Amino acid sequence: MSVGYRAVQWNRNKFVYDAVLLAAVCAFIVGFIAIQSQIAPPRDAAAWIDLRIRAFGVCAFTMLTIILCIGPLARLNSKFLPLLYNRRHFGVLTCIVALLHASFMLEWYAAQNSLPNIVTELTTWADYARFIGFPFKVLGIGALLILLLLASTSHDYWLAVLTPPVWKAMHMLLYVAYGLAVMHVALGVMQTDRSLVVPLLLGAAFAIVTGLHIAAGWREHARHAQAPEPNGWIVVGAPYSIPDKCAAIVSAPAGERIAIFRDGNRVGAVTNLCAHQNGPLGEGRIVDGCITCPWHGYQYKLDDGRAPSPFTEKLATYRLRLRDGIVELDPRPLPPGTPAAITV
Amino acid sequence: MTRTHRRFHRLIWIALALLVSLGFALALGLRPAPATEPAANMREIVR
Repeated sequence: MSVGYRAVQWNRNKFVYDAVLLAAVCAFIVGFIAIQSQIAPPRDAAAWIDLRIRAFGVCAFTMLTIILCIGPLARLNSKFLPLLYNRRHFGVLTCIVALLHASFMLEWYAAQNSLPNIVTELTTWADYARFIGFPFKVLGIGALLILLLLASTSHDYWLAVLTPPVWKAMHMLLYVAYGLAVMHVALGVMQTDRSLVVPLLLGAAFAIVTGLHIAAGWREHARHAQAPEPNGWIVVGAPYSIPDKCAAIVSAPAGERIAIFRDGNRVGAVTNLCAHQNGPLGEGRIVDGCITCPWHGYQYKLDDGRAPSPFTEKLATYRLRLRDGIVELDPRPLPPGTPAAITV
Repeated sequence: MTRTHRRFHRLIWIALALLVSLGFALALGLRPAPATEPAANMREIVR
């Protein structure tokens, strides 16, 4: 729920989440530098900068990998849902770490009075035709630009301005950024570091992220659209087959999903898309009498799909009827906020 | 997620899996040979 475009509403949970996140990032970077400097002590200032570049690069890549695992894990198992709550803070911090990684690279060139070399490196067009020797920094710059775009539009203001479907589609660019980051490492450090550690960790990270996304996508795809009866209504089932304070999800013939919630003897149908970020409302629960989105806790009344006052979001609702003890649904949406719940 | 998002999600991950896996395999297979051993290198210089 929200009232207009207020700044980020901080609460204790968010402070704790951010503090833990920041502490983990600091511990990772300090630990990485401490261990690496023991294994191969840097000989000069440039080597120390190089170590920092690696520490921040590995940290940013690890954070990106974790972020990309949270979404599909939450779809596959609801136990991971709490991790979704503040994922945007995680994303913004990842962008900052990646930005520091890039800035240390510039510092490395500056320390050797060779800043123009990076321009030469990026504008030697013949190298773009090669595979090994491709200017891998361009891939990193591409990924960083995407991260900057996503971090700068992560606020709810942009979500409201762009509308949730456009915002969500734009934020799927993160997947492209991840692909670019993997190739940035594969054509960069993996070519100079001959050990098996880099390819093993990189390959495992990409395989886990891809596997989780394909598994979650496959599971979603398995839910086929339900054909309506000749009279245009869709059979949902016996009212008490819907678990109390939970939902049954049906797919309308057009493909969009509808969540049918039961709260005691009241049954109501709303679109499965939360008005905030198009989260899957049907995977949420009824809390304090309101349908509650599993992603960020936005709430709507069962009877009419309206957020409780003073909030203003409204969901499309659907007509329901009880025929021979079976709940049936009319898949044509009613205007958002129209009362449509029934007593069973 | 809307139906369009779900379809896009499926397609982009299949495309990414194929392209990046291929790129990763090529990058691994075409890695340049390791640099000459320092000791051997030194012997070359001495000669």
